[in-house]
Amino acid sequence: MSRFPDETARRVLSGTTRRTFLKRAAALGLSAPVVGSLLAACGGGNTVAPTTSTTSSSSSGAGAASPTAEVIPTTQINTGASTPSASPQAAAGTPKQGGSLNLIGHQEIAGLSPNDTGPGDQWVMITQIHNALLEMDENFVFNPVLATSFETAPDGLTYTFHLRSGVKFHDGTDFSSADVKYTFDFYSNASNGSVIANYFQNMDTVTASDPTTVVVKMKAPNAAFIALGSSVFIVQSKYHAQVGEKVYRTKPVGTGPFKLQEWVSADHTTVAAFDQHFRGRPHVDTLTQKLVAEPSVRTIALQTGQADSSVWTVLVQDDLKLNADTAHFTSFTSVSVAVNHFPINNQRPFFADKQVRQAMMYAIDRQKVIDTVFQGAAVLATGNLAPNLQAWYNAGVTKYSYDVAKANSMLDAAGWAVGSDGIRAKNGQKFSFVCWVLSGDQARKPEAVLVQQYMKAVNIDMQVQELPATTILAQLLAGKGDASLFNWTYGGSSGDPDASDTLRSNGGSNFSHYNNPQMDTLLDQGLKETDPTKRKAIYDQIQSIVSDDVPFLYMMYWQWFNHFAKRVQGLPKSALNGGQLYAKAYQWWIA
Amino acid sequence: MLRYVIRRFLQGIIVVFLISVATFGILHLTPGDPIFVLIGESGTAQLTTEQIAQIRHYWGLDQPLYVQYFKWAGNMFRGNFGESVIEVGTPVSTLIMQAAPVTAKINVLALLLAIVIAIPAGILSGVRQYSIFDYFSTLGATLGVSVPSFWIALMLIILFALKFRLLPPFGVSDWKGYLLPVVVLAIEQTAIIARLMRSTTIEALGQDFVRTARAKGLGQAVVLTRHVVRNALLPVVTVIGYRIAFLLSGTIVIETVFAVPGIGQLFVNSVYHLDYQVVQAIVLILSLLVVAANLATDLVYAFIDPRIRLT
Repeated sequence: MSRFPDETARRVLSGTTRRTFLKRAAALGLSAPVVGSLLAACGGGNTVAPTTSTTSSSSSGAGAASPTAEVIPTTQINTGASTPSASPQAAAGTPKQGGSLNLIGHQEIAGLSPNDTGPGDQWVMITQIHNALLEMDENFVFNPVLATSFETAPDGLTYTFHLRSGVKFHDGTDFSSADVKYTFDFYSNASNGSVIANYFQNMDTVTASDPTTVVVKMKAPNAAFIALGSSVFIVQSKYHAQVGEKVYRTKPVGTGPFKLQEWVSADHTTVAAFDQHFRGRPHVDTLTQKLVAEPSVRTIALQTGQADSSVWTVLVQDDLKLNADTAHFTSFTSVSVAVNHFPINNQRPFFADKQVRQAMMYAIDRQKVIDTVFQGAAVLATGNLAPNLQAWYNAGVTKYSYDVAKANSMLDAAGWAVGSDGIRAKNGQKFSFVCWVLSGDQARKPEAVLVQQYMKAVNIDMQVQELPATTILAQLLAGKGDASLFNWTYGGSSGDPDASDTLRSNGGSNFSHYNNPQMDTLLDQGLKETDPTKRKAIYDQIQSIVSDDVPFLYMMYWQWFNHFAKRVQGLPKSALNGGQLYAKAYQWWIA
Repeated sequence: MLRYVIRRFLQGIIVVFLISVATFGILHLTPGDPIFVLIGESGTAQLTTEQIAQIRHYWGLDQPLYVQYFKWAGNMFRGNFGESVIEVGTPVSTLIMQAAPVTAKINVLALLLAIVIAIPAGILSGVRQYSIFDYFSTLGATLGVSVPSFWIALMLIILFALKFRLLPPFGVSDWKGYLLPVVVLAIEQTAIIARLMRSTTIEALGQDFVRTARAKGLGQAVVLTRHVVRNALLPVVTVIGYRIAFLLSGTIVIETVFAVPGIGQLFVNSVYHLDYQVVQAIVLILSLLVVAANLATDLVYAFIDPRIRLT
């Protein structure tokens, strides 16, 4: 009997990865004011969720609290601060030196290069080893780290970065502009196997005019460059050029607070404090991340104290339980920007009609799904952007309440009459489809099964089938699937609202095969628009169209939890983006 | 005898070859490829289709199937198992060398534990058929085979790690970490071996030579040790011998739950991510092991039992 851990599945397609609310709140510089924030629960550090145990379904607290809670100030970028701003510390103690911190993750660490920062567990370790020109902290504030300041030309075509001096790499060499140029040039090229190539979209040239200055010229404005491109981790250029990416990712050399000590990919990764780190030696001696695939075992490891924190979420019932255990854990709650949704193949005869897709939205009681399947730990979705992306979110879109009668009448009006077998049909085509769920997806399979019931209630036949993640993605993109269920970012992954890869007709991740020329034009305009007000208007319209066209069935945005054992000191009082907390491990100490 | 061995050896080669072709074929017929794992996470990479094609080309994933197969086979003969696509830069042989000893250790310990418990229990059950002990061990064996191992594993972790704080909840960094995985793995094996031992004992007890031995006036202990057990052990030894072929498999569930970095976890993750080279290498090794262990067991069996003639 083989049993795939749900987290292996979830890891590929969960929205709640490092990247997603990837700390990229968005660009200052050219564009928009930017992002907001994630709604933390009341003042952060506390729970949104009810304090009752898992068995009760009193979800009232969670769902209702989040969308209407406090307004968080927009993100700032410190363009000229000489040291990264420290977040307010929760505990006022004197840091103790020494000790080992134990983290646990849900998947193996495949590589440690800047190219491997996609999977969340990997990012946690890569950020200990490297630094970037700018880094976003747990409150969406971009801090200059390897850069001390930067300027953007008014036309958005030139960026000038001033670099910090006196920074050393782990091999003792000095950091300079040559390393930045090399890093940018290398990773902007997809033929180097770089999956982050598009972070440098529209980049033309990188010039290292002197050891502490880098000038980046763009072919066309790219609103997301500051958030994405300048946050790429910098490698030791000579070393990387010598050994190549394949070796580099097993033996990275960065400027980060910790250096790689031991890496056994399927078991653990250990980093040790780097004495010459430019911000000072970290307090702890070593930091280890171990692989524990089974979520229940991760919970137990936290409870026995064998682990100080889990970098990946556990089962939602356990998350809520740990959240409530304030005696033993310091917990942070955030909200994901990846939408939990059913991509549906718009080319299928039954999904081609907009009215049918809208009817399906009316047919599902999405709040009930949130309350029963996810214990209320999620926020209802109204479109492709999460409600907490305050700078971009448009609330004035078409809303779908739970209305079975309306769903039925819309389906009837669209010509899908109920057949003698109880399934709707039109022109000999039955309204019967297969929804693919990730193999072993403990979190979302129940959701699919529940929605299957809602579909049955309006005489639509939905079958649920399990397949591996890679197969699902490939088949959907090839147009060979009907529907699936997973989390993905349709804009907002960097805090930047661009959704070209998912909503554009030729997008690389257009799972629903959505084809709307008006949407294509708007997406293109949005990427180039430099005026903040005009840009907001474009993305408002995009969200409006999404809620009207319903290219995919958008369900909810998950809450994300981070728990730390009480012995971990030096954590901030609150965090708008909990996943980002691990970037500040160099500030922690063990009580 | 020598002819027999050579013939079996050649058959084994053919079997292994066919398995490798079949594995290769199935893996590549499965839609999708490892690229999505590399790009994966919620589409934040925002790559265009051209860039995805470039990356696939970089990994050689766009070459025709037969080219990929022969390249792999050629490398194999030179001892080069290729590289993992997911864990780029790491040769497959390194991954396997890291993972194999852990799995082997757990399997060997579990098998030893199973043998130590099951054989005496089985003999006792067979000798004292229908006694209380027999009923309990039958019940135990049935439960051992039917209750899912992952459930037992989780229950034991909750009990010994959480409630009693005696053992670590995961990992095999010290000897304490080995206890639970070995016990859970041994449960099913113990059940099977005990039942088998019981039936062979009963069968041996009914043989003529036992009646002769008793007629000669030999005591129960001597009858058992000198006649019954030795004969009853034969089929059990065969079964145990075949199980040695599975020294590197059968631990997928255990490894996942207990976070043991063994072959099982490596294999499952690789299949899931369509990491071709790793899967093919593991399947090849496992099939070689099975073929070799089967042949060895047959030879040992022929050696032990004079009635058997190998042709």
